Amino acid sequence: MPGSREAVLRKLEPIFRSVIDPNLVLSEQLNASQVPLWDSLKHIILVVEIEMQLGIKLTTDELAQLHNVGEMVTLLQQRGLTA
Amino acid sequence: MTNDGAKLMAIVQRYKAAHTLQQLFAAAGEYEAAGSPRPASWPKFRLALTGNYSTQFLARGFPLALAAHGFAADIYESPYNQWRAELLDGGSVLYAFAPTHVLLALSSIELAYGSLRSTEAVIAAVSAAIKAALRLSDAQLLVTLPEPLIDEISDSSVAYAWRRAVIDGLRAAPTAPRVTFVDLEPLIRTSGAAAWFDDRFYDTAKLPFHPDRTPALLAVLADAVVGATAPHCKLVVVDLDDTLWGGRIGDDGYEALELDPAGAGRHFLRLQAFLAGLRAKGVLLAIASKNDPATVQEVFAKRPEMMLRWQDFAAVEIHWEPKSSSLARILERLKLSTAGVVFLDDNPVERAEVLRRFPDIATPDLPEDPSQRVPVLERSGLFDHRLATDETRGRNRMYEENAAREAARHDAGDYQEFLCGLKMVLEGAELEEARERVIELIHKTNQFNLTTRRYNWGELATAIRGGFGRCYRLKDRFGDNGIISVVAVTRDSDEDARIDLWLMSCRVLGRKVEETILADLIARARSLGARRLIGEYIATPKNALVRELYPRLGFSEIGHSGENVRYALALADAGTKEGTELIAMAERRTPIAQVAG
Repeated sequence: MPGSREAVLRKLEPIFRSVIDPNLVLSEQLNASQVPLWDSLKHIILVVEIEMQLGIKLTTDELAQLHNVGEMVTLLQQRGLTA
Repeated sequence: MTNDGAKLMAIVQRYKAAHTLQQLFAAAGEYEAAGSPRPASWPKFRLALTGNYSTQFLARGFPLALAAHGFAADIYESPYNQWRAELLDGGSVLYAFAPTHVLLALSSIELAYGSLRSTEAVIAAVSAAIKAALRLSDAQLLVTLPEPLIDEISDSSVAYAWRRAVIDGLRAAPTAPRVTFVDLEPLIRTSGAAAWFDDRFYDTAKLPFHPDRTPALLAVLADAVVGATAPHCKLVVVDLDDTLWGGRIGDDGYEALELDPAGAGRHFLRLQAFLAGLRAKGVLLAIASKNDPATVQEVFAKRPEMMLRWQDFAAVEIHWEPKSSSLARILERLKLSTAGVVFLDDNPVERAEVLRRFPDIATPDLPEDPSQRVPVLERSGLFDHRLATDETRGRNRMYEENAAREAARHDAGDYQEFLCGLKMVLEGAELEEARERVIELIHKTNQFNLTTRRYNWGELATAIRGGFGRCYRLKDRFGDNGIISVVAVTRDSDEDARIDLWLMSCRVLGRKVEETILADLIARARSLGARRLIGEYIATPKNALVRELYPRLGFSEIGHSGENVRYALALADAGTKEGTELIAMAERRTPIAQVAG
């Protein structure tokens, strides 16, 4: 469902803004290499904040993979996070 | 208080309230955005951080954590897991940083499951690193003791036996007063094992605890760094009426003074206990009071609740002259400068009068409410342990220098032996043999990167046309480090071969790998008929590490424009570099399998 992907994206956006860049516009195509402020340290904070704010726990494999927004959306959708 | 002071205080408060990594970084970001304020009066620290896990979070937080204690700190962070090379090698970047404090942050995980493993090997390696650091620097050395592992269920666990043996071994080895062991077990117990441990972050980021435990760990480590040093405060000059006791002896008489431990006197006794504690740590106490000396002595003689005794004071000035005159006489009698002197008086007018004559003397604003005074003093940072004075440092150094001279040769031997024991083999190969890894390294290496040219494959192929490209894999007795270095050499003219690109993984720094690679480049440039090897250094915010690489390798500067410096090495008289005998060079012709690094 494309609609629910959009909903997940809108949930992620405030987290990304608080951790990485207050002016960031989140899109599914975005990945760490395009955003200079999205470094490995910020990535850890991002993961911790996503887990805390969305109340989920990712696996080690998932942690290692999540370097673009589209992957995150897919994963969160699989976890039943839609609205 | 100035605006800047208030702003700093607010940032420090946010740092102290931070209990997640996000909050810690927000506070650290604000501190950096404010220009990392550090009043000129703050003592300066140079803290070198080295260890066996990801210490970037700690490194980022340390300037603010130490600012919260009133210290101006410059931080150097070793590359990941470089503690042995950094501490054993007198020529390391860590020692070049000239640290006042070295924090060796070791986690049990890497010690127990990395290359050392056995208790004997761990104790020997850590002890050797401590010994070397004591010889090669006069810094305070802090070493974290192996922390409990999640496998440690009880004290009959294998993990507990391992940790206990390592801790006992480290504590048994002879050390010096400059070494402080930091035990993280109380912190982990307070946090709770469930909140502390999270293997996912070790597996993906080499962080041996949950990222949100960083603020708590940082606070413990900052306390240890600050506490490891000698007291800075040398003398406290204290007022009597309404400061050391409640009421005025001239008006109320000694019998009526508030000193009742069960009543309002308790808070005055708290201050007395605080001062007694400072005295026990070697801080001098003195009295400056506007009173009649005879009545004052009566209080000490006839009020048994008094915790401080008359003879606890090294100097006493009781008369009606200005307090600034009292201070001057006390300093004269005790042969002290104003450095490290604190004046405690409940009366703001007296404080202002002293401050006008002695602007260097600390005169904290004692709150009117006596119950708030000790907390304010505790938080002021004035009584925290401080850097050893130059005199004590000088004295310590004198004692230690002779031993160091004797040991220097032995020490270099230790490091050579360590490197030799690694049985390193460097395999050179064509770039095509590890195409993906080469491009990955080109794009992610920041520190050991001479030119930081982020080529794609096509650009790289163009760059080496007429010259050559090389990648290097390092193996040692602990295993395969994978492809650790990439070089692209361009032919600028018949005469010159230019190193267009040279980068290396920081994991293998300090192992003489760069010397060995250079020997390979020299041989290859010669076989192309070149007469000179040209090197470039293009400065970026992240590659200061290699600023001196070419001079160190024997190149001479031939020109510079802005931040870019060019060097040349005449191939005719380029000799073999020291250290290359430690690494065997091999050539790889079959394709190299991809190894993630």
